[in-house]
Amino acid sequence: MSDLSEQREQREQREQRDNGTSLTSSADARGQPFKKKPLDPHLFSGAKGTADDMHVQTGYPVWVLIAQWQAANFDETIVLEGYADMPREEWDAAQRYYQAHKPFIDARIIANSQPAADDDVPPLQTADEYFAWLARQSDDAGEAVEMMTEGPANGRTAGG
Amino acid sequence: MAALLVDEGISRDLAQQLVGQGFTVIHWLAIGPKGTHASLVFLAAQHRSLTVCTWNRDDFMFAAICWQNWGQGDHHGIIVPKQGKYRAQLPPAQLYPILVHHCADTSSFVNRIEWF
Repeated sequence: MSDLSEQREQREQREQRDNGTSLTSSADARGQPFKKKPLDPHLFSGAKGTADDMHVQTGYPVWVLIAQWQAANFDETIVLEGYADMPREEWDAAQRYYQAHKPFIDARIIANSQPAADDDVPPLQTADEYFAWLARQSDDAGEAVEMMTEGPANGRTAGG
Repeated sequence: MAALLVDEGISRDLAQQLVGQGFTVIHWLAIGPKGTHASLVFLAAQHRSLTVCTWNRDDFMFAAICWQNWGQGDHHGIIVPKQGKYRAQLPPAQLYPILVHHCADTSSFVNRIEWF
């Protein structure tokens, strides 16, 4: 059996074990357009098996760590303090993975923070432009915390 | 008070701080495998009557809506980042008081979607 087939079979077995389902058919439909390569040992693939679902071995998703890093104006000490149980080596691996897979992880962060359909946003052409704009909008974070701690709950009931 | 299931993207330290304040807070990585699909984390929260707190708005919003649309009944609520708030992620130090606020909330979280 070739390395490629063996890796694919191992992945499918892992997905079946983790999820209780088999993704064989979808993998077949997807084809094999990319060559495979071993993951950094400090990282592991999440249940989705996609590039945006990578985790550090401590368990934290890479996209969340990167989003935290962006929010901290790329000050990694804030990330490392906030996730104190994550070894430095895992954070380094997460950064390397991000640099090598930036569009996919950026897309995950953008999808998770995107505005509502009718919100008035400036014209933005790239992910980095969006992140820079997002950072400028974040100045009200302290205000939000104040509202949360002083005001009434502001949630809504789903399905209502 | 809300009993929280804190998802894998939020630091364990933050969950431990909340426990230290006397709140009922469980970190997913303390009870389940890392890298678990969001649907299973959501399901575990329902079985334990816990409100999910997560950075992963999309997946858990989807799970909550599916839960109701597929006739599973009430869910125990989710706490997720606000859509349209245009805010980068909060560091744990700023997230902490928000979670304290929710933990101290004595009203029911059934079917609630709370934004932060």
